[in-house]
Amino acid sequence: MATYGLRIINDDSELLIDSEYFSPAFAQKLEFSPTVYSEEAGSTYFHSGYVKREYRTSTVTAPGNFIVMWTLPDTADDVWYNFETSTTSMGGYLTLWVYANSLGANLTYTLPTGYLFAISSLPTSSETYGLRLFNAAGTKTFDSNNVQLAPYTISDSFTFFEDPTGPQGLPTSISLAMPTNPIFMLPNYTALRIFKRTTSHLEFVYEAMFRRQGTSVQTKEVQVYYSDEDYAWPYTQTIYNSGNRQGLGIIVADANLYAAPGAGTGTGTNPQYQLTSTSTSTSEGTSVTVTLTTQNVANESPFAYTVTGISTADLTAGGLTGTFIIYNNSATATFTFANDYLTEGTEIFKLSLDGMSQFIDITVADTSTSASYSWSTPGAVNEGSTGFTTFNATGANGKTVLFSVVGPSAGLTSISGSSDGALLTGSWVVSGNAATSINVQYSAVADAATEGPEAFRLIATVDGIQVGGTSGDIIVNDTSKAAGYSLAATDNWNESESYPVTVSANNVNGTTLYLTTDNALVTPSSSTVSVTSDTFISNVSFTAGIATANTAVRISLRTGSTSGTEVAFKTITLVNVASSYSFGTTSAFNEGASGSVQFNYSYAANKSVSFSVVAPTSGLSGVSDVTLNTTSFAIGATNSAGNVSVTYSAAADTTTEGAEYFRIAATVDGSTYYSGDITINDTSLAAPTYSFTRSVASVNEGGTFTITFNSNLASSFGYTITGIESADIGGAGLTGNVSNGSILSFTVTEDSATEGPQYFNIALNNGLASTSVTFNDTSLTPSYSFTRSVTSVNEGSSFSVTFNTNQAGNFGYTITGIESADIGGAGLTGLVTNGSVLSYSVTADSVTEGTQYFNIALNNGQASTTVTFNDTSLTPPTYSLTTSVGSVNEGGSFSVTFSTNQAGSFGYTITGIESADISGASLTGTVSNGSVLSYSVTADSSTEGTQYFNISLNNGQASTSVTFNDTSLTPATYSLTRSVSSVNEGGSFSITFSTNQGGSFSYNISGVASADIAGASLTGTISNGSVLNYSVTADSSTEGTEYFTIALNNGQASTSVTFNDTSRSPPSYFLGNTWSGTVNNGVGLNFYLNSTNANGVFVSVYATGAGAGRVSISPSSFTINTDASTQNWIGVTTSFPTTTVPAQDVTINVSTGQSFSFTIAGYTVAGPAPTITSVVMTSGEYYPGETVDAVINFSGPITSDTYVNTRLTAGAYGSFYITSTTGAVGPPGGNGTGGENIQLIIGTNSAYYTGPANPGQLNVLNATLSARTMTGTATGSQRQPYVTTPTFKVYT
Amino acid sequence: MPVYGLQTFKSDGTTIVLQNSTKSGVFGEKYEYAKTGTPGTKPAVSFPQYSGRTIRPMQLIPGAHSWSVSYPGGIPTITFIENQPIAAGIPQFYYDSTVLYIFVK
Repeated sequence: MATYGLRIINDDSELLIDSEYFSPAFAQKLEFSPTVYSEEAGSTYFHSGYVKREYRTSTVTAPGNFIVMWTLPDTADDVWYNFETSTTSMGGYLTLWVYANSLGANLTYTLPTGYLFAISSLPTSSETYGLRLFNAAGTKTFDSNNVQLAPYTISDSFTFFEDPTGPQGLPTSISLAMPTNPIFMLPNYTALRIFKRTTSHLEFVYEAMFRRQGTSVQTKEVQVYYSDEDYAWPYTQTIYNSGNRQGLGIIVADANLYAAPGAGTGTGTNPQYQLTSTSTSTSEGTSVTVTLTTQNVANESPFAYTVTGISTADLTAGGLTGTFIIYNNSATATFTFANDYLTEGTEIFKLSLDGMSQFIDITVADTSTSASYSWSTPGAVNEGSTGFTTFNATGANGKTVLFSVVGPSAGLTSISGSSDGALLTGSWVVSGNAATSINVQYSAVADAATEGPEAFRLIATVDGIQVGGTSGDIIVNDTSKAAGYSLAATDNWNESESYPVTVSANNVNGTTLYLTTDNALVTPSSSTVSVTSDTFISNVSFTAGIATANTAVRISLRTGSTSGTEVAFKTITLVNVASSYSFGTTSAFNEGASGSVQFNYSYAANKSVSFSVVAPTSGLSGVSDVTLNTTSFAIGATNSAGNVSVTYSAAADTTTEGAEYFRIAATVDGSTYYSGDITINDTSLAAPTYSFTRSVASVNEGGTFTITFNSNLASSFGYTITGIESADIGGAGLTGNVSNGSILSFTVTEDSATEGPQYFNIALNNGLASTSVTFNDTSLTPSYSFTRSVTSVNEGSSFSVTFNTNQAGNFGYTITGIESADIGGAGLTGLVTNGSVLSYSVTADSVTEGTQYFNIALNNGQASTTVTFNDTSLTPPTYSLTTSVGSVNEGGSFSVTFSTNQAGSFGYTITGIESADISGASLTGTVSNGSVLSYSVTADSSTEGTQYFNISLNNGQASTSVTFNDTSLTPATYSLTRSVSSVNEGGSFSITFSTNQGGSFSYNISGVASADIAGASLTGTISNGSVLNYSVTADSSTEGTEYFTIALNNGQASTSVTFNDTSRSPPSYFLGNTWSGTVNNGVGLNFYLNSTNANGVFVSVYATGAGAGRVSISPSSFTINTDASTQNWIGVTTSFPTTTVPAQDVTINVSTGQSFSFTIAGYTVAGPAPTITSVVMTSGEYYPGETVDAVINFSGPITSDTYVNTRLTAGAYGSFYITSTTGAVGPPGGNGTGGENIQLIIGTNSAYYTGPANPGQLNVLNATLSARTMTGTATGSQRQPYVTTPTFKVYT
Repeated sequence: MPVYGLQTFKSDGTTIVLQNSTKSGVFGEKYEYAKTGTPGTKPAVSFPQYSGRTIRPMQLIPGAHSWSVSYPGGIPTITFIENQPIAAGIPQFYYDSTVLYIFVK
């Protein structure tokens, strides 16, 4: 940490203030607009059970970067807060997501408030007292006029939800010490979790949401992203964490230190989820489509569902689990019910949304049928073959069918049992309920007996019961046959050859046959043959041995063994074949070489052959020159054709006698066979010669000579030179190759070494030729010298150096001890030849460097010399920079003067300030003696403190400085501060102006009209502390949101206020469906009040007039809940009086100013009437189209017209309707909740209908009423109607 | 009321700031650790400027790292461990640089 500045530490050794670091200061408070920015309903994988609502703040107006601390409203409701970020900057806004439980009643909640604390640019203050701290960079890090962030509690043990595998699990709580109105700096955290599926995987993103209950801060994870990816994931579950989940810091502070929170209230209607289906009652084999209809659900939101009440096997399409994916707030799933073969009764298909309360029931009627079995037409089978008969099954899934053999029908010959065949298919397990079949396989034995056709039948049993009856008779065809054998082969067999013998056997399949001969010279490749069919044919190879004479041989085919019964034979003749011999083609060969000729033979087993050299048939005989290498050969014990190579050679003499000839003779069993003439080519040669010839016997250094080589041979020959070195002959090689006629040229090197005479010797490497040349030594001894013109010289004078040598060529030299500048810039290296003169002028410099020594030497080190330079330099140089002032204020000027005793220009550099500080003057340049540099100090407005102008020569010989006093002005500040960010029409607000500048400033208001602010002016002037108060006109025009903007005309400050349009048009009303004239007693009628723009208006309805007491009104009061044009229905019922009254007028009045009138008919009350003792239905249940009869029994005779109200309704369920004979259709009956009201007038001998439904024919019989003829109609099963307890009045 | 800390006064003698009773609230710096693309423990990051002090990093912008604080030789040090990379970006999942707001005690 820095060792300067100011640091304040508490007695826990904790930093409270450090001038090097920021003390975050409160900048502004931000409230969320109560208007919901966006809304999203939850689904299975999206914040299930919560509706998500987005809120936003206005933009940040304070400059700089901020960290945000939040209020977390104390709530007992299932409401959570998720903040997009807790950092922001000027121009940004903050986003909040509220997750409110949407499974119960609608929730109302408080929106948090954000407190912004500056961390990069602390708020400015115009106060002139107090304490401000700055860091080393000059940035303000503390200002006592700001309100600092003062932590109430700091914890570093905050932990998010502890079970990372649980989706939206229980919340995690942390108890913190906190003030009454706490604000929190909350850590952020997200997690990505991937769950494996069979061929896909699910991806979820979780974020942390917060709430507060008292001093307990709670957090819980919420799913905010879901994706069903269509490729497999290798791991059961994978979790990616973004950031730490545990040990996190959280800071609590007291909101009361800064500004009281003023959060708005959030609310909204819970989303709706509704399940419907194309049918609520269906049968097996049909399909239904279930539709999920939603509100405010985002596209692609998933809703998982589970089906209960049925099994997987009950569905051929659709599954017991699945997911609705919402598009445009709707998704469907289709299910097809299996038309199975099980009698399981009616089932209730119940589809429920996972984790939600919604479900739908569909009744599935059982339409199953039982299993059936049958046999198809039977198939016959031949002996030795297999056959089958098809057995069929339907609706028998999983059943095991056992098959067995039974006897044939009467009149057919039965098979004997297993000796005649076998049943190959013993059982069958049926798969599926659809019609299916199996081929029941059987086989018949291929016996040799000819017993004629036989028969059998098949039966099948399931669960011990024979099914499908008995198959038809299955005929076994008798196909037995007799045996037969034969052998076939060519008649004459040559010795030592192989021949095929064909073996044929009929109707003996499965037996083994044996092959034998009566002479061992003939043998089979296999002595046994396995018969594999009833029409068997096979070739067997026999081998013939070497015979000495023609011989007859008998080949036999036997059964049982090699000595068994001969069932066939073949006699062949083994032929003795004559031997044959011959020589192959001959070819010529050279003297000194070898040759060969091929001798061929066949059918010559065990013969011996001798070879010899004999005279040719023509030409000069070369027999004496030939050596025969192959003199004999023994042929092996085989008659196979073969050959032997007879080899020979001829001596390589030197005699040239021309070509010679000879032959090879072979003798076998006294017979001789000859080769053709063989030519010996004459290749004799004379002896070789070699010679080297030199051009001179001796030569001087620098001279040349040649060596010539000759031979009578065509080859090349290697040579080697000795006695000298390669350098002596100009670097030529000392070895090489020569051939006849080669000339070697050499130049003797003219070196400078005196080594005496040398002897050049050259010789063939085979030692068969050589010669030599003498080298005379003509070298000289070299000499070199440098001669100086003087031994010493003064600066400003000159001298020379002369070079001499007896050697030709150039020689390099180098000068040391001085610099080039000391000899007028002359080079310190170069080349000289014999006689070269080097001239130098010694520089008269001004540097007093003392005596110097000029040394020149050859680079080969053979010569050198030295000249002394006397130092005659001038007095040392002087430099000075002089300022006109020691310090200067901003806006002032000064000069700098340069002096030196040296000629030329000198570079300088200015440091400690910037060019802008000296009116843009350059910070570098050059000066010479007497130069004056003038500067004007910039009068800027920045307060940068004292500055130091430093100017220095670049050679470091002079410098000076001037102090710049900081006389800058403080920058002007302006601000317009609004009392509220938004205001409703009819409300008021104020604008406060602050500045550190004197005088008045004009402003302008835009975005609204003067009429919108109660006629206030849109222009004016203000000064520091001015407060402008405005009232927003509550007009009646609906012009939408308006934005009031006030800005200084100098552009230095502005602010704006949003005008919420709360205008509404006046409500309007009218009545509809009213009536007039006379209305009977006991009648219910309805009218409506149509309202527009009347949301929230309380309405009361009441009756006046003489008959007001006989009228009941429902509802008698209500509140209109919409501005839309709406019909608000009101019921009016007239009642029967208890005493006789005349006709009476009534007026219905509505508090909104509307009314209408009518008259209630007069009514006379008679004496007491009999009571109803029972109502009896004439039947317990009715079928569609059947008449419904009800008998009403009274306590006594009906002596006067009796008014009866009764109600006929349908019991049980479903779409049962009751219609009267007039065809009027009553409302659908639903468990007694629907039906028809019947109003009757019953007299002593008759009755009649008064309404509202027509019951049809009426009969009155001695205190009983038979009200006919209601007709029940239904789309489903029969239902039971009943009559509710009636009421009656006597009518006169 | 603790008696340590800083108290400043207006010209009329009223207190204008009371900085003597709070926990430490000095903001050191915003520190961003960039994602490297290679998972594993990264070289420790030392903060010698806070030597001898305790730091409280606030995880306001989480990224693809877990992190821990230690004090070798009294020097606050943060060790970042970069998590395994994931192939596709998911908008709602912060998985890039980690940004800590460091408070100094």
